[in-house]
Amino acid sequence: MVVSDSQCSDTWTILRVRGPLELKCQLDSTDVPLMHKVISRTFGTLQSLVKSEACVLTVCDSPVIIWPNRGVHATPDEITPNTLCEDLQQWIQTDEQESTGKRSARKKSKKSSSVFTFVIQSIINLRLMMEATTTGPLPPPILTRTIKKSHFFSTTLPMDCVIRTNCNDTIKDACERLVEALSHQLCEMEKVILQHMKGMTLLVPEPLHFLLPEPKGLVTVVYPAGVPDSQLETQRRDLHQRFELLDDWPYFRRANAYHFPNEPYRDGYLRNPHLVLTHPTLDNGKVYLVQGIYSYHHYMQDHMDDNGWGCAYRSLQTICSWFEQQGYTERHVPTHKEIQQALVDVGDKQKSFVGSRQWIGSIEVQAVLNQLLEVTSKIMFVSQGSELASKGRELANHFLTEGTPVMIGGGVLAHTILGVAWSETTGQIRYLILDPHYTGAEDLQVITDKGWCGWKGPDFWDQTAYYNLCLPQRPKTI
Amino acid sequence: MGRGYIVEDAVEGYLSKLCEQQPGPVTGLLIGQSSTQRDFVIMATRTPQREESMAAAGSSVDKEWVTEHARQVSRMLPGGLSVLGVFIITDTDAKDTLTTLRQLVFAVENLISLEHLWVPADDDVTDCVTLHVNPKTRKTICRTFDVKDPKSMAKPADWKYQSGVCSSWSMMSCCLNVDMLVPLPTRAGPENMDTSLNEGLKVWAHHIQSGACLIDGKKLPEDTELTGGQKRNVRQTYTAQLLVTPVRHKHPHEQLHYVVQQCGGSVSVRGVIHSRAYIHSNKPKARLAEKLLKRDVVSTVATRVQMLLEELQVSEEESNGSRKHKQQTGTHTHTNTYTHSYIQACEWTSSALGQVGRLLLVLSS
Repeated sequence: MVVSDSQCSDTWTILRVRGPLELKCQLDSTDVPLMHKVISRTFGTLQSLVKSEACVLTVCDSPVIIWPNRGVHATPDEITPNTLCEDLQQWIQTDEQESTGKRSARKKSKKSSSVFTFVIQSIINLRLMMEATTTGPLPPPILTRTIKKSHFFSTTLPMDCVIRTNCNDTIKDACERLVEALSHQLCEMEKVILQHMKGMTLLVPEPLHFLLPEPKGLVTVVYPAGVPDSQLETQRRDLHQRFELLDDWPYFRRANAYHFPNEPYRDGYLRNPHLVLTHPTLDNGKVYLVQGIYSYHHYMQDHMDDNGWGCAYRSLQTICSWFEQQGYTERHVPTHKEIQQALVDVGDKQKSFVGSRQWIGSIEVQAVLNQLLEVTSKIMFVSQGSELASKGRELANHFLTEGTPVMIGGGVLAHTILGVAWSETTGQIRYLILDPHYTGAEDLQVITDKGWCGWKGPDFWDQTAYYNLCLPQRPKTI
Repeated sequence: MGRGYIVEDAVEGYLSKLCEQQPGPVTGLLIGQSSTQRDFVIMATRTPQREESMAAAGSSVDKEWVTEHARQVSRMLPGGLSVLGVFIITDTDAKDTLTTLRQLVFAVENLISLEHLWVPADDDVTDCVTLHVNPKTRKTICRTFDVKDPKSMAKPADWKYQSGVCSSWSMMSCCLNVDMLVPLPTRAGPENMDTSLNEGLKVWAHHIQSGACLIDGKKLPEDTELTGGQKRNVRQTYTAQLLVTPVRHKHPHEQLHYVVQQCGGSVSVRGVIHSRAYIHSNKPKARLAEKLLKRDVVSTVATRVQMLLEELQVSEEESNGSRKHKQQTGTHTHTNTYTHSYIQACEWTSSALGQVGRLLLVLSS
C-alpha cells in the first residue's frame, strides 16, 4: 500500500546528529595559499572519515548504534536498514526505564499552535562517534617526528546536522542524508575558516539552525564564532536571496536560531507561556498573536521587590526580551534602574528618579524603547476602557504586521497584550493578556491555570478609565 | 571479615620450591585479578637477583629493586592481570617481616599507579595483599593493606589454594587504530618529546575511557553478567569494539575555542595495536570487562609509544656517533628498559607474556 506524502506531512521526525570532530594540522609556512592547502587537506581527511566505515551514529538514550557506511549495519539486531525512522522512538529510554528494550506505547510530544512554529512529532538525537577498533589491515604503530619551527592548529568542530524525515523514510534513507549533511557541513566549515583567516588568527565555525516558513523548514547555517551579527549582514543578505525571503524579518540573526524543545533555557525565565493555552473560537473570528519568542517578566523576579509599582517596568522588560530574542538587539533586558536611567538620559525625568519606586506609563515605555533599543512605537489612546472593544481591527493589524507584544497602561494598572481574537462580522473580541502582577515562581501550570497568562473579555478593562497603548514597531531589517 | 584470596595450586608449588632453594629472604610479586566480588592470585614471580649483590645475597631486602621489578612486570602483564601484592620467604620474626612487607607493598603500588594514564574508578579495589612464608615451618601469614590510606593497618585475609582457578577465565580482545598528532614545544629536545607525547596520551586515554564499549557487537548495560566461564576448561572469548568521541573535559559550555600555537614541530603515532584482557569467571559484570580492556588498550599504546620513542633516541645516538653506556652503574641492568634496545624489550615482553600465556594454557587443559 502506498502512502501518499500528504498523509505524512503532519508527522515529521527530526533527526539531529551532533558530535565533535578534531581538526589538527601543522602549518609550517606562513604563506597564505600554502596554509589554505594544508587546512583543506586536513578537511579532506575528515570528509573521508565521515564517509568511512569507522563513522558511527548512536541514538541518544538508547542502545541503538548505526554504522551508516557499513551497509547501515545496526545493533540491536532487530534494527535493519529498512526500519522506519519513526520506529527508532520506541528504543529511546525515558526516565522510568532501562535502555535496553522497546517501549510499549509511543509518546507523542505536545503540538504547538503558535503562528510561527510547525508541528514536530518527535526529535531523535544522535551522537556522532568514531569506532577506534578495526578488523582491517593491521600495520604496527609507527612514530614520525617532524622538527621545524611552525604553527600548530588544533580545534574541535562542533558538528550539528538536522534532517527531516516523514513516516515513510527508513533509516537507510536517513543515514544517506545524514552523512551527506555532515559532509556538506564540513565543506561549509572549511569555507568559513578559510574566509575568516587573518594571519595566524582562525575562527571556529559554529552551525546554527533556523526555522523558515513552510515548506522550507529547518535550515542550517555555519557562522564564524565570535563575529557579531552586525558584521555578517552580507551573509544574511545572500541567505535571504537564496531562500527567497523578504527583507523585513531577521530570520538569520543568531538570536533567532531555532531552540529545540528538549533544551532548557539557561536564564530560567518562561518562554511563550501562551502556547499551551486553548485559543477562543468566535463566530467568524480569527486569532492574531504575537510572533516569535518573548520571556515572561513579572513582579519579584531577579530579587527585585517591585510589588505594587513595577508593573509597567515588567511589561517593558517583556517587550525588550522580544527584541533581544528576535535578534534586533544584543542588549540584555534592562533592569528597573537602567530603565529609570534611560529616562533621565533623555531628559524625561530628574536624576532623583533613579532608585525610586515611581510608576511609568506608555509614553515612558515608548521613550525607553527608543533610547535603549532604537525602536519606535505608536501610541494608541482610548478615552475610556469600553472603547477598547472597538479596537479589534487595529490590534489585529498590529499583530499581523508588527507581531510585537503591546504594553497597555491605564487606571492604576499596566498589562501586556499578546494577541487578540476578533471577529470582523460580529465585533466580538478577546484579549490575550500577560499579567506582570504575578508574584510567584516560574510555574507554567499555575500561571496558565490561574489566568496570569490568559484570554480576557472586554470587561477586563476598567470601563471608565482612559488607557494608553504602546505598540512597538518592528525595524524592517535583516 | 577480611578479603579472601583464591590462589592457583601452582603458586603453592612455586613458593615451596623457593623455600627449599636458598637461604636469606626471597621476595616476589603476587599476580592476579581483584574485583569487588573476588580476589584471585594466579601467579607468583620472585624478584630477580642483582648481579652485583650476589655477594651480599640474603642480607637484606632491596626495596628499590623490588619496586623496579614490579614496575617492569606490571607493564608486561596482559589486561586483567595486575600486581596484587608482595610475598616474602624468610624466617625473620613475623612482626618485623610485616613492617617490611608493608613498606614494600606501599612502594610497589605507588610506583605502579604513577604510570597509569587512566582515572581510578570508584569500584577499584585498593587493598593489596602481603604474604609471609616461613621456609622452615611453611606457615603462611596473609594480610592486606589499603594502599589509598597511608595510615592503614594490616587486616587478616584468607589464603586458599585451589586448582584450575583461571581455567575458565574469559578473554576479551580487540585491534585498535591509533592516530595521534601532538605538537612539540619550540625548544624541542628529547625530554620535551616525552612530555608532549605523554600529554597527548593522557588526552587520548581520556577519550578512550569516556567512550562506549560494545561486547560482541552489542552495547550491554553495565551490570549485565557475562555468561562466559560456565563450562570448565573452555575459554570464552569476546570481541570488543570501542567507540570514541573527542570530549573535552572542561566546561561543557566552553565548546568553541581554537588554538593556534607556535611549535617546534610535531610527532605522530599511527598504526594498529592488539589488546586483550582476561576476566575472572565468577559472575563478572560487563562493567569490569570494559574497564579492564580499556586499561589494557591505554597501557599497551603507552608502552608501545615509549618503546618507539626509545628506538628513535637510540638510533639517533648511534648515528651521532656517541654511544650511550648501556650498563649504568648502580642501577638495574637487565630490567631497565631505558637502557635496553627495542628488540630486547620485546623479547622480555614476549617471554613474560609467554609465561603467563603458558600458565593459562596449561591450566585450561
